Amino acid sequence: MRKFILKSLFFPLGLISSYTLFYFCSNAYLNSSFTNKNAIFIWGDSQAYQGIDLNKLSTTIEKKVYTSANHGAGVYDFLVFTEQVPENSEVIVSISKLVQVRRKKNDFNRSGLSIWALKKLYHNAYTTKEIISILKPNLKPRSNIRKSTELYAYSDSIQILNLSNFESYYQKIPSFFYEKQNIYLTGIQNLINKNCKISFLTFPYHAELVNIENKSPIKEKTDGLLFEIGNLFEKFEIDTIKLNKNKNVFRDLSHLNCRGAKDLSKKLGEKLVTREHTTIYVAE
Amino acid sequence: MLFNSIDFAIFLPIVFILYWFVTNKNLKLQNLLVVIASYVFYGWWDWRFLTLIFFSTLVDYSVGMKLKTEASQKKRKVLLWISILVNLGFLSFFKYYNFFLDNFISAFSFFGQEIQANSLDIILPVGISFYTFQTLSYTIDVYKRKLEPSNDFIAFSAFVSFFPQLVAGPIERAKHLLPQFYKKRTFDYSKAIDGMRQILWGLFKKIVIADNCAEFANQIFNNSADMNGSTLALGALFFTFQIYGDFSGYSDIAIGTSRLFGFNLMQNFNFPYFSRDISEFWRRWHISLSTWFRDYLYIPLGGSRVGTWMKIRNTFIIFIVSGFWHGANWTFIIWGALNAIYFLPLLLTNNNRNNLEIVARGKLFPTLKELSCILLTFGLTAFAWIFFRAENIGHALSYISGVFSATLFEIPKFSGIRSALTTTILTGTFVLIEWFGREQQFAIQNLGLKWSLPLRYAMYYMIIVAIFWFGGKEQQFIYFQF
Repeated sequence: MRKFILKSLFFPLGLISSYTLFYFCSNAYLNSSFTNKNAIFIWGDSQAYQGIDLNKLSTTIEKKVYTSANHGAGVYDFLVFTEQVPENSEVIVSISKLVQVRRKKNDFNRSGLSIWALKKLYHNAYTTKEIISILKPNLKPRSNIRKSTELYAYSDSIQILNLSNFESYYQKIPSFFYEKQNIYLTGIQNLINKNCKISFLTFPYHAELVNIENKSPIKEKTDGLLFEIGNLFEKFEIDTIKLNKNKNVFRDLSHLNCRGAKDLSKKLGEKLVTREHTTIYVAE
Repeated sequence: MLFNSIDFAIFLPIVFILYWFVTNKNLKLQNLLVVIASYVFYGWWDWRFLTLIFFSTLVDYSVGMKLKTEASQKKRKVLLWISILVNLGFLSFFKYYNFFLDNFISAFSFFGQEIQANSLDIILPVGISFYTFQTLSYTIDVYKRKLEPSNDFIAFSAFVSFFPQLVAGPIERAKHLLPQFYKKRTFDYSKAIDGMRQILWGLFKKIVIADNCAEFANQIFNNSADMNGSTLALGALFFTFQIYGDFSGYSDIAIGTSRLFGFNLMQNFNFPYFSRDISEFWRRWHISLSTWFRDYLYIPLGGSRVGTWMKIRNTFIIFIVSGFWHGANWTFIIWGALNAIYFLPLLLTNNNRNNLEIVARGKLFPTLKELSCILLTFGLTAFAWIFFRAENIGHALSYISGVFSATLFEIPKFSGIRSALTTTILTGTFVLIEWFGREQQFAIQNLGLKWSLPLRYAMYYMIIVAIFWFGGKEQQFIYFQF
């Protein structure tokens, strides 16, 4: 029995220590193929993944562009991003309104292991069960920063999918809403502490979705996040990016197609080159 | 409580410590701990149904005690029928009430008579089919005087509710498991280590193989109308591995867990997909249920020592009842009948006991003939699983007609092809490991035993890492619904 108990104790210890070593080595390797010299990093959800043409932006600002944007990216992904991005980096952050109201379990939250990020979630009303469900898929090392994305093809018309989903999201303020906003603010503070040069980007919604949003009690609260972000900085501006409306720029209610993405990336790039202060760019 | 949950990972060490360190000096106390732990394990899902288990235990224990003293054969028979009616009564009500009611209404409306009857919103108690059959085996054996009735209520309760095999088997015979509760258990290091290895392999089967295959099997079966033939064929294959990984994985965890507590449970799966014919498959698949039906239904009906027509009747009865045991749906009945049709030619030509030994014993590879037989049997089994998995007969038939259409030779199309490829590679590796370990009780029983400690640990670590890295989305154990 003694031998069994000893082995039962040493076996997981051996597993944890050897796996930790392996994990951090491979994670460091997977996420070390970039430099922050003459580079810009992007974080966001599918709006940013589909809505920014990395090549166009890179040519306009004459810098390398890396992205951690992902479909369904959530609070945990954001915290891990703020941890992984090197100090003194230039960063574009896009916290969409939908990620603030989206149910916790629908967040992607797969950016690798970060004890710090898990602790932050725990301190912001995430239950142990929710944390374990986030922890499990993150035990695998992964590369989070990419050099390319895929854009949606151009079409004259838009796909209107799941309008009822949006309506249900916007019906009432979800219980986790303020905790999520708080976590995003924590992440931004982390970027400030790392002396990063931050820009914020808000993607446009299609008129149908704007209608739903305008009727919702949540709109005021999601807009409020912008002001809370502003309070974190000494000098802060809000600027608008007007997209060319000659042709359809939307793929669906909340995502740009390649035409919209290219237009936005070019105009954003031009503004980034000349900007002086921390700015929120609101695309319209 | 699920074996692949955090709850169980906490529950198991607590019970283990209490079992071996606190209650180990008193057998009664140790058995009482097993009962309490088993009730907690079951009550974690829904505590209300504990009353069912307790009532079943009470009835069968009392019937057993009465049978011990009762000399009159007539009264003994009445006692046996009380136990059968109570146990099967619960089972019929919870599992089959709505099925019979719906079919009754359909039959009447077929003849132009409309009847109004409301089906009940009944929750199926987890594992009811398993523990019902286990307790029935006790009463029948006591009635037939093949087993001494238990006069230790706690040991008997522990036998009925033993948590590792309570909800999904193996369905233990009273003759095999009950006496183990009477004897003092001593901790056996090699048995416990063997148990841990079996638990590890069971978790791999469930989390890596079954849960990953389930993702694609569900997607394809749920959208079968929009899929081409090759995708549907692939869906059937995914389900074939899902059900094996799921159920045999559960059995492995159950057997391994029991070994940690000093118990031996019967082997429930013996590499069934390497069978060379259907009769061999049924000797290797869900062995505890097949042998239960053989001993308590097939043999009492006359078995195969009767005329040809009776043999055919008995075969159909046993397979159809076995199908119906799985669920209250015509799909299970057709699945059972289809297996009877597969089995009958072998029985009638006296070829049903040709392949008693594991294939290619002592050899690395099978012969070409053996390989073709294995593939044919596997194909027939996978085909039959379509009925098992389908929502209803119409769904199964449209699925099958979809498979055997011109689109069978098109490239499969479904979402997540890349992860399906990973799942295929994992399943292929799994089949290879199972093949090389097919002469053991479970595939990795002897794997690496002669290796140095670091190498052996590296193998265990790799399996654990694979479970975390490649584990599919958590799915309920399929056999819980039975």
